[in-house]
Amino acid sequence: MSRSQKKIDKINFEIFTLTYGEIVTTLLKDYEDVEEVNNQLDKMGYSMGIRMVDEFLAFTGLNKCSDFRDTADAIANKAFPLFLGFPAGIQNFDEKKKEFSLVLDQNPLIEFVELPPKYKGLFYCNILCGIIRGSLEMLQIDVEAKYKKCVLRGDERSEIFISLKQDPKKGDK
Amino acid sequence: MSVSESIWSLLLNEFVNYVVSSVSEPSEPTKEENNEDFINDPEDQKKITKAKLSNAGYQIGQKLADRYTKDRSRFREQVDIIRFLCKDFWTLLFGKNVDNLKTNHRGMWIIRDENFRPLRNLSFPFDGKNLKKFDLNENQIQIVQRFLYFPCGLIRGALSALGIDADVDVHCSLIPACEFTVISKESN
Repeated sequence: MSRSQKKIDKINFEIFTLTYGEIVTTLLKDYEDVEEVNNQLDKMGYSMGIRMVDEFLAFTGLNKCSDFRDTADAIANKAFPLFLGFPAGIQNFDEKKKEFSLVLDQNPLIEFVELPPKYKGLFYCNILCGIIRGSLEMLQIDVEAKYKKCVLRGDERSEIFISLKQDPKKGDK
Repeated sequence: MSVSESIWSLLLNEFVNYVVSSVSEPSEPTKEENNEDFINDPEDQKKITKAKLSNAGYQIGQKLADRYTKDRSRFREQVDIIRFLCKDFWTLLFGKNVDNLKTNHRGMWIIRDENFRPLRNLSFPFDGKNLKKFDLNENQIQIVQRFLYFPCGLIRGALSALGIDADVDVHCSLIPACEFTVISKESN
């Protein structure tokens, strides 16, 4: 398929990283409460996610995922490299509970970033959760995505915890 | 390392959306003191939106210009700076060179881009009457303008980091083409 071989336009990551940093700064100035900032970032991510899924399908030409494991693989090894230029790792995949953690080792978003102690509650990359939630919702997969650990808060690695809320509609299995 | 261009555009659009809605709607209607600060005048709203977005752009423009010129020798003339802006900087940010550059040799430049990246994915509903689809009416120009405050700031910031203190204005009447007017403050 020629469509899937088409290259997606790329830009240097620092443009994106700096823009994102500026947005978070603006949000922190506007809202005093870090929880509110987390929510707002999630909301922004959600609106981005519902648009990004179209592009994802157009560029990868991916077929339907047969189970949740496939979905996880598609996110970690197809979607992340396509949009953010690095693959994510999958950990603690639980077949029964339908949940897993995405491990982000080389996240370009947190380049140049240091969090002052007073913003300890902030999940800097919370926008990623929103994006994942938004794009999966467009595929009728209802998930909950939450930041569990973040390098910026002193954890060893960044982890996004994703769990399936309900069984997807038939056809997606 | 690189990321996809689309995720950047989407992020920018979300940012514009956020700023526009944060200015035009009170953020927390339950708090009364917030409502007092709330700006009702649409002209003022526009000004604040512009200030917020273009300041954000300014900060980023400065940092990027510093970053991308660190291995270059110092620019000798203003022309070199403008040439750098239109070729290298423009390509890095917007994926292409500018299409046309005009100057009056007295500190004013007009930069024209026929296919400006932040406007590329913008469209308006086709109203059935207007055959020239992308000729914008007054109201639509206002909307497009919002998406240009940030790039204006980027250019202003980059120029200021490279040593030209300038005002940058933008005009757009036919998406996705637009025209930036750069006026150096020194020359006046």
